[in-house]
Amino acid sequence: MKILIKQSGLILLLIVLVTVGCKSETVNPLYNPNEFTLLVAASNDGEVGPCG
Amino acid sequence: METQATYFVDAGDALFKYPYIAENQRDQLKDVARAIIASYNMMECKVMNVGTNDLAGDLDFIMELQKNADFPFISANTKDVVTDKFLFNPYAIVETPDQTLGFVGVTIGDGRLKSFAFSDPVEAAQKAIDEIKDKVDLVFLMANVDEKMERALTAEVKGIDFLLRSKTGSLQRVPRQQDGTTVIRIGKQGKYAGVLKIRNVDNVSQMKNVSSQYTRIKFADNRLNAMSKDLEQGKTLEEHYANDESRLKLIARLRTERKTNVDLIRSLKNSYYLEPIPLNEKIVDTPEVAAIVEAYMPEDKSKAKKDKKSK
Repeated sequence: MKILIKQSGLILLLIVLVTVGCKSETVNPLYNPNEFTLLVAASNDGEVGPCG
Repeated sequence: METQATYFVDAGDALFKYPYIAENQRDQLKDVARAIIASYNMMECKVMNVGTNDLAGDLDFIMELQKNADFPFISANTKDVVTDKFLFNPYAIVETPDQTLGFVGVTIGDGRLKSFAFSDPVEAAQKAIDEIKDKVDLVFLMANVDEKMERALTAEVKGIDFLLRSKTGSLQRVPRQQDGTTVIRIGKQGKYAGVLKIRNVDNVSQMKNVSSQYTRIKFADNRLNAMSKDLEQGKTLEEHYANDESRLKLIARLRTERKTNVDLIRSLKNSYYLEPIPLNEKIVDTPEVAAIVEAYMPEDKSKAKKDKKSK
């Protein structure tokens, strides 16, 4: 089973998600009413690795 | 400045690529799965649907991970084969500042997973949705299924607003409407993260895709930001380019276009926009999560990373 991710393209999903500023904000009074963002991960397939 | 509340969720198959693990890789891959859960904790994940592949480490291991997770694992149709009891909560409810979101999880199952049994995803999803539909503003069905089962779910299960699909190879940049349900697919192998922006004003209006409007807003913002690079502090773009008529016209046009599209989105009441984010080298590591990964990373991978960076 392949567990090494491709260094060039695939990166750790987890790292990225935080980096793009999508960390969950549970307490933030400054929000657009009736709007929210879901950051959806799916089929990460056990991939981990460095960015870049 | 206003912003949007953001919630990180996982639709399934986060931890393993297959529903089984080769014996000689067992310890290594389990460590990777632990790293993923530790990172999800750091990222304040709100809910994870337990996909079929997530069960590859067997019953004790998924229970260990659930215990160590700061967020709920859900599955409406995964059972312990010995006790015939469901192993996870069928749904999770997430509260935003002004919305209540319901997440239901199902998985298709796999006969190679001898410790588990799987009830019918359609029946399980409907039962869970019926339980929460009056308590939530929107229902998200996290479906770790194949194409055929995806079609069955959208055709037969009532009350799904968005189907978040895992176990799919294809990224769909423009989400499909299927039997009145919006289907979100963001591919496989962690190549993309899906940023799904949702505006939900009422429970009556149809949910409209406003991707083209967001694209134009983003384009206008990028152009305006580029022109703002050398802006003196306290000055507006109009003041900075006061003697450049063509620039002033461009700035006015971009501002107008931006406002037109923002107003259009606001007028729609219920809308959504999916932006798949490619997880490539342009993304900078977040130190806290990178540290977790580094600590868990197999030696050969760690070496490859260092070799690459030293080149």
